[in-house]
Amino acid sequence: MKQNLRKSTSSTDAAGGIVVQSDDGAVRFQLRSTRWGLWVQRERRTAPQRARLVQSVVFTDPIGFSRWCEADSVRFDYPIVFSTLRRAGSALLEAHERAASSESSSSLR
Amino acid sequence: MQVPKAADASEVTALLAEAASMIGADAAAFASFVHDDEAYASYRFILACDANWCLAYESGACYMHDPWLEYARHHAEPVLADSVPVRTESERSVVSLAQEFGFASALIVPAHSPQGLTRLGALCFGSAQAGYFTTDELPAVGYATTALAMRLHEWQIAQLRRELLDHARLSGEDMVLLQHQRLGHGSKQIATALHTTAMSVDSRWQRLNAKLGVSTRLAAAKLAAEYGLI
Repeated sequence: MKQNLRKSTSSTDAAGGIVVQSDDGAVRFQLRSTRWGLWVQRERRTAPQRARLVQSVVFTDPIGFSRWCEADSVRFDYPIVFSTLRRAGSALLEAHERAASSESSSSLR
Repeated sequence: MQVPKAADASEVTALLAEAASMIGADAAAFASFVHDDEAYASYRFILACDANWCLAYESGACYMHDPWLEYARHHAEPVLADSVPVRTESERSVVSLAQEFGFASALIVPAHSPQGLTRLGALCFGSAQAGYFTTDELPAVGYATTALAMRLHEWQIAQLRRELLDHARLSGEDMVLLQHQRLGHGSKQIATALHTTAMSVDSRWQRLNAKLGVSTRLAAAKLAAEYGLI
């Protein structure tokens, strides 16, 4: 069975966020936990149209993030990148929710 | 509404969501376009809407047939999306896609760059309710949102400028060369101004072109201008 095993690299950016990108440079994600939620910047180069699309979005809940991930063709084109993105993004969102919940409990006291 | 120059992308995304809320919109997106280099064009989106729209937009290469973006390319006045001509089936598909994702009624607010540059910005507010934005309120809402569109555009250009500077590691000498090229000066004229030889200027250009990933000094100066460096 032919598998797409394009490699990915993970690192941190200058602001302490997570960077996940393919080795061929065609797709790159930056993730960071912010006070509004999980900020993600997705960058993809499309060879046929010679275009680079960059989208910046904040996810406030895991369902929205999961739904977005499932709709992304990167899931099939770069499965390792996708897997790392999902894992890292979910972890950051969980941490954000815990922090928000903790803050909410503190303010009620 | 201010867009602080030092704001990071997540703050600006949150600001866009706040602006949408203030005018009663369900969704907002700020799109900008710039020619990266000779090979690629960049389309950048700051989203305060269903992000799945942007994935579908990319998947369908909608940027090739977007009538709203095309309107923003040639006009400076805010407009109701319903008033933007839609001429082809491809353009209709792009509009239908937007309508599916919360832009059933939409307001398009262009943000222009100085003449001679291809970069542009377009702020779009949407409502899931058809007919929400009306011509009666267009002057007032258009006036208020134009200022925001310009500020978002300026912020975006500042980000691009920073990216290019970080990536290319341009020196003060490089900037001087680019300025000369923008003024239309040839190697001999630049050499005289810099008290050096034309051959030295040509060598500097070769190195600078390599840094910027372009093949000619004309392309280098154009890229620098598009990114707001000169």
